[in-house]
Amino acid sequence: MGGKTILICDDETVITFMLASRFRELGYNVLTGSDGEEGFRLACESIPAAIISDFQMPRVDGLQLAKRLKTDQRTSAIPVLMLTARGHRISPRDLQETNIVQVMPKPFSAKELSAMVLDICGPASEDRAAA
Amino acid sequence: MVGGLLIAYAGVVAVATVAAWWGVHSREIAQARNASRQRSDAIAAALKGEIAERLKSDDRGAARALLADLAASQQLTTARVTLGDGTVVLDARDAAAVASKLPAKWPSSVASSASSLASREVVEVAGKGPIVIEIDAGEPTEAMSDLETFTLAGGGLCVAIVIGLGIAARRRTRSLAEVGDALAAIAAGEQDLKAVRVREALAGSGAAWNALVDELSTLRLRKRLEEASERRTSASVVATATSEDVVARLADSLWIGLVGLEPDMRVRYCNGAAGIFLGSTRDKLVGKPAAECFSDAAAKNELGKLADARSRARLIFETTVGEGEGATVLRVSARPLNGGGAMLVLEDVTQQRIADRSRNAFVEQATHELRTPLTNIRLCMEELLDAPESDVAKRAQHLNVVNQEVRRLERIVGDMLSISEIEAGTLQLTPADVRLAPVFEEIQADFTQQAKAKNLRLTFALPPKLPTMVGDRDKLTLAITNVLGNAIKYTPEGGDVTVSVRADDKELIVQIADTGIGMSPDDASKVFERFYRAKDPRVSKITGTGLGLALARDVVKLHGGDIGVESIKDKGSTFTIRVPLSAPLRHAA
Repeated sequence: MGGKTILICDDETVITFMLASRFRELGYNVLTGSDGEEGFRLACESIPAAIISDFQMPRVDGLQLAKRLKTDQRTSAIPVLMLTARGHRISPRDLQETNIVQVMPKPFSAKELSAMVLDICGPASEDRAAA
Repeated sequence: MVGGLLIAYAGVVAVATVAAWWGVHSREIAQARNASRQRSDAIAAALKGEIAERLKSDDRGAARALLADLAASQQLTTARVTLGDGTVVLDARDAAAVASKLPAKWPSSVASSASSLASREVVEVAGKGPIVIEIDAGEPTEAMSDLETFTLAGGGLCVAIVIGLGIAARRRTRSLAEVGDALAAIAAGEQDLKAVRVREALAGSGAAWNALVDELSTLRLRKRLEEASERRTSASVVATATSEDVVARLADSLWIGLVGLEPDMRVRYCNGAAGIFLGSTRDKLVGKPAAECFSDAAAKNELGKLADARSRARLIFETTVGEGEGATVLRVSARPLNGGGAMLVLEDVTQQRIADRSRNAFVEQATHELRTPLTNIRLCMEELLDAPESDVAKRAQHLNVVNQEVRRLERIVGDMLSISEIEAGTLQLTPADVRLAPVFEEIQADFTQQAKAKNLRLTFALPPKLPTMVGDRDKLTLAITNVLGNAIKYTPEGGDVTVSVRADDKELIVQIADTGIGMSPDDASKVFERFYRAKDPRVSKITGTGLGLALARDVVKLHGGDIGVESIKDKGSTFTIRVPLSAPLRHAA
């Protein structure tokens, strides 16, 4: 398991499947979760280089996940890329309480998302090289 | 009346005066006559000897001269000498009556005389016979003249007075009779006072009576006017009271609250709805400062603006009364009134706000539902474009996902359109023969993958043969898939969802049972309401519009069928759809 790890959280299986396929092709290790609860558990366990999360999820939504991550020392530095509906705005106060670095409105392009992840945490190989 | 009495008194006094004067003067006349008689008697007595002596000597001339002198000197009215048979021998006043020649033999007796005034002295003329000497000194002419004048004048006056009094009495009697008749008429109920007037010419009492009648007429007219005025006032008061009563009852029947405020912003009036909205009673609200009727600070602040005399603009604000599920959202329209005070109109907009929130949630959910398949399609299309043509398996996988997501989009758009049509009452069914077997095969195919992805056991219990029914295929499919999709959505991983279908010659029965989160009885009773979502926090974490089951119910109802649910919280739910196979289809209400 070399390379950086990306955690993808979405209750929509097609999206997690498609994104996981793409990022694996780019050399990243990919973990997937279907809700915020599962995502937080996986984040604590693997400390990924970045987290891609849907905003609207059952049980624990994306914003709550991001806040939890921010408050936990183990995960407070993990950048979060939030997928959300177009026009949906996250308040500055909520943003301060999270580590959300980018918001991507749906429907989005997988290529653009890949470029953002690359910009945020660098290529997958660096992680592998550092390790 | 007074004039009549004066006339009567004057008449009585005049008659008494005349009578008294008549009595006094008559005695004077009697005394004068007596004196005259006495003087006549004295003259006759003194004269008889002288006359008898001269006639004895046949000196009729000397006797005549003596008698004439005496008559002249004594102003005798009568100085006459006659024989016993009345033959006039001498007459100082009427010479023509004197017999020119005396008979040779004089009558020996003397006839009696009817005269009451003259003094008669019978004297015997020696040798010839008796003669009668008649002397009359005459009536006291002045007294007689006064008496006659007075008698005439007094008598005339008395007669006139008596006649006048008689006439007056008659007129008065006639007047009183007419007045009596008028009184009898009034007593009998005569209302027309013109009919009880008497003739003015009758007497003073007639005019007085008419004056009384006029005054009575005036009083009656005034009384009628006052009564009419009182009736109008009374009617007005009654009408006003009635109007106020009607307005109050109308106001109480309104479902909006009305609150009238005094210039000092205290409640002057409120209808029943206002009392209910404000969680109080009318009696408790009246007199209370308006700001104390509302609990939240924003409402108090708005009412404070209303109390500010400089602010005369209409204010509209919303406030919440109560807490929790029983809270009421009130829309308050406050309008200042001319002359001070204000009117508050309270509307319960709780349901509107709930509907607004539900619609907003629906839009949010709907856009999310649309964006998800769109995102999936876009991701797949990017992969297809990038994937080499040689990777047939990967391309087929992506194309399959795109196909599924397109159908998903179709369902979502179909749901939204159907909901819109049902909301507008324009949902139209397209009836046709529907072969039920293929319908359930498609549904099974659509949901099997979805259930598998969620690790659910989806079982279809279909009979060997399903009939053909009359209905709208797409709408029926929509209703069943909505219920089935709901079951899969709210059943945790590892759960079971069973679709049981059976049909007889009358109806189709579809039961969809799950081992999901279940519902409370309260939620179960409302689960088919539009925009309703159960209070269970587990539900709020799951995307949904709150319209799927409402839409299913409407479609089933339009097919003449029914839908129900039995549910046990934390155990699961069983939805049952019954649709007649050949029932006449109904249009949306």
